[in-house]
Amino acid sequence: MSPTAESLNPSLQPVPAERMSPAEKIALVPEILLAYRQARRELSRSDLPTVLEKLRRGAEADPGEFSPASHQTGKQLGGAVKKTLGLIATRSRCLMQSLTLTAMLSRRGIRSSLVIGVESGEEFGAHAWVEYHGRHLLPPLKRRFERLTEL
Amino acid sequence: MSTEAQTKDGILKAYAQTPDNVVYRTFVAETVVLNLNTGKYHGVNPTGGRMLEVLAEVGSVEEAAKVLAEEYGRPLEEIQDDLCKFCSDLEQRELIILADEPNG
Repeated sequence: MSPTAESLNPSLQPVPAERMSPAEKIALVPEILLAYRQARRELSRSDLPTVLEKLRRGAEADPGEFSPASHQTGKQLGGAVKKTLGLIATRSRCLMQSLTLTAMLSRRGIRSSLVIGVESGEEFGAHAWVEYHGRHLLPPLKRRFERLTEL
Repeated sequence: MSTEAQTKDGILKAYAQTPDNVVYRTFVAETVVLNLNTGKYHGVNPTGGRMLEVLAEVGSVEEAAKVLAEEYGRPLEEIQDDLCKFCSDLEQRELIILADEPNG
């Protein structure tokens, strides 16, 4: 039996393809909607730090080293969450998308950060997004938000 | 801290602590404060932002007033009045805790 790349280096993880197929995207929709419902229900009962603690059960406490596979998975899920929940009219859209994505990543054992940023000046604005090792997983907005806190 | 802290003397004797659920960031025109438990944002002007910073550095409201009086070149009593009113406002909004003892 000839050695494979995985047997030579057991830590090698295949990185998901850059793009998901349409079927893969559609398959995520039920999970996204369930995670969204869970996040919304928790947020109606508890404060944000408590909600995050609940949604992160399943993810490792320490994000560990950067994993290209986890990053790619995170980006794909982020795109799917944004597209799916973008169709739902909801208050605090960015926060709900971020919480939904956090829950889905946690189910896959991926620890992420939820970042809140603000824009101060003539018009005040606030935005929430998810990062994995400092990299955006939800597509960033064109406006620039200064980091306020990372949870 | 209750009624006592709401008097100027009571507040001056207190130590200001920022709860873990409160975060803030200073910008040119204002300091933005977020209470993570309530999800509410608050904006304070640059003077208020500087008061927050000094309170975080020294803890004691009385000491913070002295630092600010020197920094702004204003009479101590005037700064004490402003600072105590500011602390009282922050406490009512649950953005700081006025404790009897210093943190830690």
